[in-house]
Amino acid sequence: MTTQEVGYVIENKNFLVYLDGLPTIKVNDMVQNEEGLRGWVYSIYPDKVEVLIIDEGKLSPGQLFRKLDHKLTVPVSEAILGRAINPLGVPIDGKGPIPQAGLKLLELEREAPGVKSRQFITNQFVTGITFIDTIMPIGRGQRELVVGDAHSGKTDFLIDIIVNQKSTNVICIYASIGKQTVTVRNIIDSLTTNKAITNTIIIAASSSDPLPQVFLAPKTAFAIAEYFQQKGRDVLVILDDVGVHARTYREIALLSGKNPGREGYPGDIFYQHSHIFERAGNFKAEYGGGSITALPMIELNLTDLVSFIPTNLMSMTDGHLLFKQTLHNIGLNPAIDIDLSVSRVGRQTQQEIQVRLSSKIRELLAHARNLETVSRFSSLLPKETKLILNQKEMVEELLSQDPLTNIPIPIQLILITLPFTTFLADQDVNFVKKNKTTIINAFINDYDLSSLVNNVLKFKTIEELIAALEKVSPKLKTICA
Amino acid sequence: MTPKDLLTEISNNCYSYFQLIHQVRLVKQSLESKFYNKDETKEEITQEDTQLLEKITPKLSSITKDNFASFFDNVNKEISNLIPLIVYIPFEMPETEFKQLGDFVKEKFGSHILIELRFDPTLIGGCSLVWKGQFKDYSLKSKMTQNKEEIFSTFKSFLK
Repeated sequence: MTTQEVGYVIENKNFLVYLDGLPTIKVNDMVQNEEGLRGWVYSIYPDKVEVLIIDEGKLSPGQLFRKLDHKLTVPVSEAILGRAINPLGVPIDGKGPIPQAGLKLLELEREAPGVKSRQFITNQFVTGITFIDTIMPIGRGQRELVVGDAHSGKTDFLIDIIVNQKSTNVICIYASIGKQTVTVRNIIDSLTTNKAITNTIIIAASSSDPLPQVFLAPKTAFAIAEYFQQKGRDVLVILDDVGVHARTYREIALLSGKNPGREGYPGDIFYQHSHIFERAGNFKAEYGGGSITALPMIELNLTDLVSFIPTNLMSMTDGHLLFKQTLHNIGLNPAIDIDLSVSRVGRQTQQEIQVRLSSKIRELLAHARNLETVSRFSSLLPKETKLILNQKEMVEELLSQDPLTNIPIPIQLILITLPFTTFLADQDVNFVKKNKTTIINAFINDYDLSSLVNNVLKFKTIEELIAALEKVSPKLKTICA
Repeated sequence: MTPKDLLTEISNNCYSYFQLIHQVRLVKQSLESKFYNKDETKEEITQEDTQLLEKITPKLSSITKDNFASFFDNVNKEISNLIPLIVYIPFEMPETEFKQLGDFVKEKFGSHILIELRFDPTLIGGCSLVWKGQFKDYSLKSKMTQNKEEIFSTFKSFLK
């Protein structure tokens, strides 16, 4: 004789099902009916159990659901690297089934590791993007929100970061939440073309998938990230877009009759996001030793930065990068507003020279912005003012980077120091624009210059770096002549 | 008579959950015809139904035209709290056997227990029971699944 717990469908609202029976069921348990449709227990009432149906199929009152002896899991192994799967682990990239050997079932819903398992973030997450690595550094294990207007280059920026990890040992997990199937296809193709798919896992719940799958996508991303982190690997998790996730949860909550709060979101929306992001971090060796860096992304509604969900997300992350369409339109890439962006952890992972240079650049840009205001009222500007405004234009040009390019950190530092040397003292932004790639290539390929590149991070002060650059200035002038 | 008393009275005289609902409906229709001169029911009435109505009608004097609606609202609430013993069987049970089963259940577990029979030919033999969300499988299908390996090896030995 076998004993199981069962419940019968007493009510059905789209993907929400209410069951009776199931006397010892708990939240997050799984149930399944005779046709194989799986349900995830979402709430428990005194007289009924609320279940989110995660598979597609037809339901009717009176159907029998059995309690399963396992929680909601996703199968993970090294074999899923380079694959695109849905939030339940089913491949969607047309490359056939994932090999069964070594597959481990990991629970989607896990409590975030406690404080004793975490350690100070000391290593920089190198993106290969000058603006990020020098001005807004990200640490391995940091949570940095990417927030901004529509069409401001956010997704392209995130794809650039993934592509730039192909030569590193970092595993990238890209969770596409509620996007169109064609968009997901384009991302897969883009990563494949740039040979960055091999260290990437794409988790996609498209807009046509059952809503509970869209809701589960970030949980799957973190479950997979934890698998690799516990093997000592550094993992990058990108959630694109958390705003869609919030709206999905709002739809589920409103359908289930939960009380709507601010902007119609349910009361536990903050918890839903914070307990996902809390799973990121830098972990001690006895807890696997790897790190999970999280880059959740959210698109702003009509540039409204202070609406409910973006402010929630800002308060549960370690900083944010604000993308602006106006900056994108004038050709800045990444189109990040330096004044309104912040990175609270990354600075501690930088070398001394990086920190000093970053402060100097920030000071220069802030000072130049003040002078720009004054300069509008005067046609004749003092020499010092002209110099600062010229340096600001050159720095902005040097911080702007073509898509799908990777600049090593030493060269990034050299580039943003050049406006303070005699090499660029008599030049303008057009010269920089024209010769930027030539200068970068020279520092990568020229033997004499590459020795300077190798020592850049050893300098303690900006003056030392400027002095070293002054020595190679004649050679640079020859190269750019 | 309270709604609970009515249900106890009916459940003592029937075996299945659906019979109970049918008989409650008959009582309601009989009272409707009394209060509102509505037509008698067109449902099929068995001899037992007639006997039950004759037995219960004198006890329904407390139900008036004024409290009729609220009384049956409460009856419906009580019905929604009833938990039937769901029995899955692989064949359609003749009425005489069903009565025997009903009598057995009432004798063993109490006269208020109602059965809900469900037909599931995949069980092959035996039955499965569901009581308060617990599913107990006493079917031949379950036994065969448990001893699948043994059954297969026995068959294989014959094939040799």
